[in-house]
Amino acid sequence: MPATTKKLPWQPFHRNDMLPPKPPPPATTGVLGWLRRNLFSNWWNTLLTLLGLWFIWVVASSLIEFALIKAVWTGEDRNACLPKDGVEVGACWAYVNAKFNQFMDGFYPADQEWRYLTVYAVGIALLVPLLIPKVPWKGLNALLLFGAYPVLAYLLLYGAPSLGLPIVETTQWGGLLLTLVIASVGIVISLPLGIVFALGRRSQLPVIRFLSIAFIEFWRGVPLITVLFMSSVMLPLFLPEDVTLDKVVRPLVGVALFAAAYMAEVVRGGLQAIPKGQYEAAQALGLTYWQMMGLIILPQALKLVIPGIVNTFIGLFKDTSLVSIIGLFDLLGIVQTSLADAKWSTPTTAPTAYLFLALVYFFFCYGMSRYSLFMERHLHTGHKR
Amino acid sequence: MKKIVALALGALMTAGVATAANAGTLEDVKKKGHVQCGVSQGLPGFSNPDDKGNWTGLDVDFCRAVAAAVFGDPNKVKFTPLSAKERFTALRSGEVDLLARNTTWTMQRDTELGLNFVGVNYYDGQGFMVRKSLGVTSALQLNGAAVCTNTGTTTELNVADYFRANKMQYEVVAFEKADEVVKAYDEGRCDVYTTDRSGLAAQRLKLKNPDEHVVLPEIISKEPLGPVVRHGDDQWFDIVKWTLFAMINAEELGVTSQNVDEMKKSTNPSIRRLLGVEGKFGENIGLTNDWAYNIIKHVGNYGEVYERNVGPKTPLGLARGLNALWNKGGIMYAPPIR
Amino acid sequence: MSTTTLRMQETSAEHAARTRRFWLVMALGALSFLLFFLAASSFYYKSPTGMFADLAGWLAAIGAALVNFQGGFLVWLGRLVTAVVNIAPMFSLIFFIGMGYRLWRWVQEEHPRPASANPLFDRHFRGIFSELVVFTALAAFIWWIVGNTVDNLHRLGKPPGFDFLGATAGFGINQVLFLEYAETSSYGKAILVGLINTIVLSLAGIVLATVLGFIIGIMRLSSNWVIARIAEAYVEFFRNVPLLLQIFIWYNAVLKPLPGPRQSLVVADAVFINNRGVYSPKPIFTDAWWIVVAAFVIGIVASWFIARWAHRRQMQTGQPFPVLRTALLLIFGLPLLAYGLVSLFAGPPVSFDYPELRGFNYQGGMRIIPEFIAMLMALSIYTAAFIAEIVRAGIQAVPHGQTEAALALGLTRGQKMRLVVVPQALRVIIPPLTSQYLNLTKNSSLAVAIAYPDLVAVGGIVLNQSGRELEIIALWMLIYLSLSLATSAFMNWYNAKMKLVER
Repeated sequence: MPATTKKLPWQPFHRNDMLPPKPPPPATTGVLGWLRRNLFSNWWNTLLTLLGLWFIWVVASSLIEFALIKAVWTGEDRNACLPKDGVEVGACWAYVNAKFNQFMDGFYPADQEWRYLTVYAVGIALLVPLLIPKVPWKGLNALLLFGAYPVLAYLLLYGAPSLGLPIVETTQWGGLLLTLVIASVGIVISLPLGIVFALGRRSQLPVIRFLSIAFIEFWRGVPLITVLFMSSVMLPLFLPEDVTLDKVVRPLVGVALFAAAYMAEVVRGGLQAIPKGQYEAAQALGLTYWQMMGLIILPQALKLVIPGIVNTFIGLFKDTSLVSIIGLFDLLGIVQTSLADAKWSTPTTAPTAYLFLALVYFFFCYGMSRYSLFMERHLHTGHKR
Repeated sequence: MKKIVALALGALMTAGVATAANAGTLEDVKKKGHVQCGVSQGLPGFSNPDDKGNWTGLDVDFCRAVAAAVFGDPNKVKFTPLSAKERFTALRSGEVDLLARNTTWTMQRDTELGLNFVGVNYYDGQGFMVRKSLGVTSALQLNGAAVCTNTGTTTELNVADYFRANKMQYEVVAFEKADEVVKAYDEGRCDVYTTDRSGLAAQRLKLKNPDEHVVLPEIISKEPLGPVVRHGDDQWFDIVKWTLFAMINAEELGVTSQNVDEMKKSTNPSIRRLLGVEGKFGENIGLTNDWAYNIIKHVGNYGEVYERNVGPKTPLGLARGLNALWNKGGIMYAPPIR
Repeated sequence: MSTTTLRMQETSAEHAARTRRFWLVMALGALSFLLFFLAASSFYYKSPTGMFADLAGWLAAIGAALVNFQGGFLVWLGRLVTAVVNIAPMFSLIFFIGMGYRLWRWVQEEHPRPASANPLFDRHFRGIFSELVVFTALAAFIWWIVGNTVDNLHRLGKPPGFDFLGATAGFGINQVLFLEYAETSSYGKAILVGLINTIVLSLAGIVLATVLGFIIGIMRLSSNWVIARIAEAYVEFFRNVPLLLQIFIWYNAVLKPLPGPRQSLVVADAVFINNRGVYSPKPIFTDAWWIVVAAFVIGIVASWFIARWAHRRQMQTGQPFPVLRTALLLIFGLPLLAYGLVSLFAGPPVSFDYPELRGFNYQGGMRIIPEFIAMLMALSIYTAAFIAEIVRAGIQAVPHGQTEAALALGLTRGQKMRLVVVPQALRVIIPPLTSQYLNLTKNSSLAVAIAYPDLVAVGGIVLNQSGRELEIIALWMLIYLSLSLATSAFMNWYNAKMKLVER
């Protein structure tokens, strides 16, 4: 505005450039600020923090002391882990080491160990690419994993004399091997079965709907342990007298049906979350029921409930430990049995065994739950509102 | 129709389903090529797997003897470990051909449950084990004690009867598995551990300090332990029964696994009949005539089996006692083979 | 009538199609009925006419079981269940009749479709057809299973029935609550004892798990980083380790550090803790005790009225009233006062039976067995991890605007939580919370692993002693199923009541 600009007798102060921003008060940024905001904002918070830190210190230090510092790593028998000069030792890893083979495979013949190791290796090789979203050829991969792999695993684990693989009776299976077999077979059977029952429950055909509801509510209403007792004691009664079921197959039937009912409810949640418009659009396109479900609804619904499905898997994996009650030597069962071994009976044997078990189970379950979180974020694409 | 469904089911569960013809246990056993024997889940001296899964024990040897009698090969036997809860169902449903699982012969089991006991391979009685430090010398001093035991056994009922009859208080802590009973007792959950005396001797080995415990003198029950077969198959019943008798007779006649080949030349008619040199006793029960020879050759006579598994020289260290032959102060007695 | 008019217009081609359809349906129906009948008569009756001959017998058996009330409630219930179970295969027949009716209706109905249409492309027909297939297969399967079971049981000389529940149990149980049980009691009584133990354990577990779960859940949302991480670690660890293992761990942890009875830890000379359990004095109430109880009840009733009055007054005048403090004073103060007065005039209304060391163990007093403590800890700690997640999700589901609005209104932090956040969060929390309660109840069946005498453990003993697998397992399932269904029914009712009423 040069026109109105007049030369004034005095020149007012006129800043033309901004001052550089002042640093924020030192106590609100950086590590210190974070600490202050999150840990020491007032006296109550400070007290909580200190209490929490103390708690962590107590738990962590005693755990580390037990598991690492005072632990016994090598030894031939219980003498290594007995209290020394009246002082208790820590974890008796020597015992886990001595029993490790048994914990891993039960009584699987030592010269045949390569068989289940191969099964593990192939399983991992097929599973990992399937789990990573970026890897292509998902269809082929799934076909191999769910079609060819079970046959291979069965032949290798159980044996086929015609192929030169001596038969290993299922009574010799045990430990982590048995736990994994039960869990994975349960998972593989329960998912499709669960989908079928979820569809049945949402079916418009009254008989099918009723039967599905009855099935689902029955299995969800009873504790797994009674199901296992039933499958171990009563399945023989259900079958004709000249048919007997293998001792490992029996709980498998129970576990799979049980998990299928829970799976059905998870899948049903997914089906309900799909907007009605999707169904109607599919029908308007003239798709049949199975086309509609297979091409439109299920792909979306299953995607929605992947976290729920994985949670059911976690539950199933944890639940496999119950088969030890009906006398199978799964991981928990075989470790429990080994605790009765006088050769290793020391005051720290049981805590060591339980710590070991907790770590193994935690490793698997936590892994699965992390994966489910990852998938949840990865699939967070559309329909979830 | 039944067969079709069974087959369909079989196709579904190839691994698990084994169909067997309904003919008779002996034919089934011969067809599948082994005897399926139900044993305990781990009781040292009777049936116990080592770290490799090899089974040993008195009951296990009896199973091997039956396999030797049928096949002439003591290794044609497979073992199914069974809990107390499962054992009878497993036998009845045909899952096992024979149950040798330190099972007490009682009338209810013999009659109501559809079972047949073939005889007694160990005369036992229920006893109590306590800590030495308690200073107890008789079971009658156990008023108010906490008692650890197995569920689903005669033991559980006997102990209730005993305490009630003697007007004593007690607390029962009953576990599903023998190992858990021992562990709980060892941890101090109970004052007393009760089971068959042979079991006490066996389980004692699993305690942290076996020397700190003592078995009380009282025997509160009769526990004749014996192998069991299904009701209704007389031929198989005979085979298992006479396998046991053959082992006892062999001891009585002095036939052992070492001298059995020489004994074949013996002039003693009892021995000649036993070893199949005379008569057709084996063929009459559907086996070969050298059935007993095979048992003794491969497994041994009753005395040998006893000494090997539970006798004084083993960790269990059980004296023969009642289980000595009838002419040596015991009550082990077998009908003659003739 | 529209049907008649429509029918009048039917061309001969349409009529032919209708006839074809009719015969197709009839043929299919007949075929599946034949299969069904074959399955029933070969698997179950072993004779072609047995099915019809037995129907009358079954009805008579149910009638007899209903009328014949003898041998205690459980035995009676057992008889009734037996009678009903015996007819179970017949249920499939009833279904079948229903199916036939639907088919018939379908044939009768009008279908606005081109007459030449192949019935296989008719949605209704296909629905009925697939139902028939599923149903026939399932019915045959059920006949097969039931037939096998009955065969097997008869072969073993054990016809199914619940009469054995009246037989003498003969074994001891180490935790008997509210009932009189001795070795001479019946199997049925023993199972009742087990059921009560299950319920007591579940209720205690539910209370403890809820408290712990809410604490952990709120800790997870704490603004304090350390506290939130501790809560997170807790949740992740206890959720990802099998409950059975946790039970063993706690049992071990409870038993191991505790001394034997003779070296018991003593609290205040009245409570004794050792590896046989926790012994505390047992109150013995005199006749005057009812006055104290009455005072307690009066306190509760009065508090309720005061709360109502205070609420109304606050609505009208805005004046708050310290309801909680008054109620606490009333509920606990009144009984105390009554207790004092009664002691003053009539001597103490309650005396205590102190446990004392007699022989091997403490006798008398109240006792909590170690198995109970271990189960309670394992169950509540495990379930609390799940409840914490539910609580966190519930609180996070309350929109932030709600808390901001509450703060803007000038509510205090406590008021904000109590009046605004919690009521809204509860709506989200309650349904999954109930299913956790149900899980806890079902999980209490793992007690069998450490010999806590719950329903499954005691039932297992009865199963072993009596050799009645079918009946005991049916009883287990029946009881747990009815517990579950009852809880579900309650939950549905509650959900309907609490549902957000929107404009």
